[in-house]
This record gives sequence, C-alpha cells and structure tokens, in this order.
Amino acid sequence: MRIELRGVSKSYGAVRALDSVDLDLSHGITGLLGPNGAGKTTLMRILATLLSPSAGSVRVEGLDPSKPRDRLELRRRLGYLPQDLGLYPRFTVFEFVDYLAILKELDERRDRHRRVRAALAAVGLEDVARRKIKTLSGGMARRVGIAQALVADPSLLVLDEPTAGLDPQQRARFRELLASLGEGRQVVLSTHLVEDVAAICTSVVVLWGGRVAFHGTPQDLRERAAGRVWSTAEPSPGALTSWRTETGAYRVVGDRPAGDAAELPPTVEDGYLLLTSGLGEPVHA
Amino acid sequence: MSHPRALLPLIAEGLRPPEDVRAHLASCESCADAVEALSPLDLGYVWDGVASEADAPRPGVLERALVRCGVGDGTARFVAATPSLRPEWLLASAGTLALAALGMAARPGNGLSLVVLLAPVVAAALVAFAYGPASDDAYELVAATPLSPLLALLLRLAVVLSANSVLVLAADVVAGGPGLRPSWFLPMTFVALVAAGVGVRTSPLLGAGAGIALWSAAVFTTVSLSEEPERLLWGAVAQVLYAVGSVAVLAALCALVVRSGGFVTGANERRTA
Repeated sequence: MRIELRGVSKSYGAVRALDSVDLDLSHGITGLLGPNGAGKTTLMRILATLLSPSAGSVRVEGLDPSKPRDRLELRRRLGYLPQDLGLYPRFTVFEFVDYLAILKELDERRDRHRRVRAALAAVGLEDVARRKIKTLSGGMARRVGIAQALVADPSLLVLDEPTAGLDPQQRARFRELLASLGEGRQVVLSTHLVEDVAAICTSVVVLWGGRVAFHGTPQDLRERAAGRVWSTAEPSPGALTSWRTETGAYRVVGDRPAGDAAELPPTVEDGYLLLTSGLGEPVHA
Repeated sequence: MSHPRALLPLIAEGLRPPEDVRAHLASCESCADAVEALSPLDLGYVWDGVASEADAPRPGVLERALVRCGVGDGTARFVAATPSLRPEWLLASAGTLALAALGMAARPGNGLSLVVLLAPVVAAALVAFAYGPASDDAYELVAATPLSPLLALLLRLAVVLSANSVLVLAADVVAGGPGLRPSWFLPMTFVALVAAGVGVRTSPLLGAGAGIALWSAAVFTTVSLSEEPERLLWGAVAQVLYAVGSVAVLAALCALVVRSGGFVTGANERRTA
C-alpha cells in the first residue's frame, strides 16, 4: 500500500487547515504528530476518503479518492477510527461491530461472526461482547472503535487518536497489536503521545500550522536533539524546557546550561520539542 | 508402515482404527489430512456455526419485521439503526397524532383537520433526525464504509416517511377522515424533505424548525388571508407545487450527498481540524 499526497491543501472558509502537503508513505506504521489545530484530523479524513482536498491530489495504491469508483474500492480496503467516535449506546458490543462488518460487505453470516469474535478478542473485549455499549467505560468504547476498524482485515488502517482514553496497560496491549498489524499493511495514526510514536512507528510526520514540518523516522527525530539534552543539579531558566527528575537532578532540553552539566541521550520527545520550538506559533493562512 | 489408504474413508466415517494405524495417523500428516478431508463433519466449521448463533445479536422488532418481508440482513440493520425510529420517537409522534385524532373525533366537522395539519409537523421532526452528521452517532464510521451514501439517504428517508404515513393514516381514520389522501401526503413529504435538507447541512433541530416554520407560515397565511384555506392549502394547484417542490428538494439533497462523497459536514466542520 502506497500513499502519495501532492500539494494537498484544505480550507474551511478563510481558515486553511492543510497547506500544500506533500507526502509519500509506504508499508508500515506512520505516526502523525502535531498540536491541536495542526491539521491532523483533516489529513486523516482525507486519507479516509471522507474529505476532498481543496487543492492537490491524493493517490492510495494508485486509486484516486476523488473518483467515485476508486473511492468505493478504497473504502473496501479501509479500516477507520475517527477522533470523535460515535457508537450506538443501545447496541451490544458484538451487535455494533457486526453492524459495521455488514456495512463493510462481509455478507456471509458465519464468517462475519467469526471475524467479529476475532476483532473483539484482539482488543480484549471478548468477555463483554454481549454488554450494551452504554455500560462501557470510555477506554472500552475506544476499543470497540478499534475492533470495528479491524474487523474486515483492512490493508489501510487510519486511526485518529487511537490511544485516547486507554489506560497504560491497554495502551501497551494496543501497541503490541498495532506492531503486529503494521506488518504487510499501511497504518496511519495520529496522536498527541510522542511515546506512542517512539514505541511503534516506522515513520513520523510532524504537522505544524497545516504544513509538514518533519517527515522521517523516529530515530531521525531523536537525533535532532543529540547534544541538546543535559542533566544538571540546578534548573535552567534559559532552556527550552527543564524539569526535576526522580533522582533530584534536572533534565534540561536546549543549549548547554551554565555550570556542571552532563549530556544525556535524547528521546523522540526531546527531538519533537526542539523541532517545534524552532517553528514559532502555528499560523493558519 | 505403508499408508493405509483403503482404511481412510472408513476411519473418516467413524471406524475405530487398529492400534498400528492410529500410531501411523498420529505421525503421518498426509493420512491425517486425507481423513479430515474425507470426514463428513468439519468440526471447525460446526463450531463456527454454533458460536455464530450463540453470539448473534437478537434483532429488534423492526429489524425482524423487515427481514420477514424479505429485506436483506444488512439493509434491515441499517434501517433499524435510524435514530428517529427509536421507540420513544415513534411513541411521541403517535401520541401527538392520537391526541389530534381524538380531539377531531370528539368534535367532528369543525373546520380544518387537525390531523392533516399536524402530519407535516410530525414528519419534519422525524425526518430531520433520520440522517446526517448531527443526528446519527455513527455517521462518520458509516460514511467510511462501502455503503452507497445515496442508498443510505434514500433508505432512511423512505422508511421514516413510510412510518410517519402509517401513523397519520391511522390517526386520520380515527378522526373520521378517509385515510390515505393526497391532501396530507404531498405537503407532508415536501415539508419533511425541506427539514431533511436543512438538517443534514446544519443540525436536525434547525432542520425540523425550518420545516415546521415553513408549514406554520403557510397555514397561518392562508387561514388569515383566505375564505377557503382548504382550497389554497390542499387544492390541485397546491398539490402540484408540493410535488414539484418535493422532487426539487430531494434532487438537491441527493446532489449534496453525492458531491460530498457521502460525508456531508455541517457548519461546524472546522471544529476538529
């Protein structure tokens, strides 16, 4: 699965949510990072064939979502989890995932139910399959959303904030699941959590003010902070950011602080902070 | 031991094999596969069937009725998920029309039929909440499936209008009217489609409000300006206008849905950019 975006822009009235985005994504897991309003959800909806760009072109495995026939074919291959997940509270968990499976053209009842059971098991919801959705916690409802995205074995998974509302154990389990799903298919996920990207993504895209500020591997992003992360005994007011760690020392990201300072190995989050600090305030055209 | 090919069909039928054949089957993948292929009973398949029936959700009354009428499983489930076909919506609509009908039955021949006047109002509310991003919780999920958006729109409109027509027809009969007649069907359809069109683009509340306001304005204007409001509201000319208006609004709504690729966003679409 190959995704190509060329000069993609999307405007809502006078507000430009995406501005001339060029991207090439291939097999693996791509993480979209960026602050609120950076254009992540707009880009996810364009990839999910729900929105058309105001300008530019999109190709997914050679298919053009602006053409009805190609769009239909793409929707057959797509698993989508929206940021604002809407479920039917009166449906049971099984019934809801089964409903989406029907709409995804899984017509053979026995096979469809087997897939629904497998999707629910993959997200750890097999024991609550008969519970009404209105009785679920927020994290469990999110997992119902992930299960419906997986049920038709899609070759393209577009997941908008998939780990929002999940507790640490659920997030760890979801990362394992996603890492296994990333083999042989294209997964694009948006998140605010840099550690999710560092843990599972094979490539990272940072959106800032509707533009691509960075596209590379998590290692590339991490390397941007090489030689810019320090451990000191005192806080460093001039640094980009500094905080006290559990050892009592301060972790400083930015220029070398005054006094004794030991260089620390950078993280992806350090790279993200340094990258975005140099971009200024996001500006929407 | 050589492959016991002559015995394999009998073993597949249930023959207990001798000890040495059992040992061979345990170690010979080719013979074990042959027995499994010959067996009339595929246990994995049987188990899938049992689990499928055990897990299958029990369909609601409407879904069961649709399936009995020959509607496919998928279509029936999609129609049954229509927000404004929930029991509380239908009960509220039926209750409103029943009160009007009982009032009419108690005082027959007293001017304009309240049931016929209320038919477009109830339809506007039901149809505005039948389809669209603000009324269907799973709208965005459904829009990303291969389901034809045009089919989805038309199915929901048709089913909700049909449900409303049944309620109005029953109320009209109770009120002493003739039941099915164009005087309520065409204005009801027109007002409901206006409500759906505005509701899809903005919000269901605004859609219902627009439909109800339009109908109320028409009724009050004709009642206050004309000696024969029935002729103006339900005469032949009015019926033609309702029919033409219905076709025009439905065409515009279909064009909107097709042009959007099935994901119509309202005024607040920038919200989560």
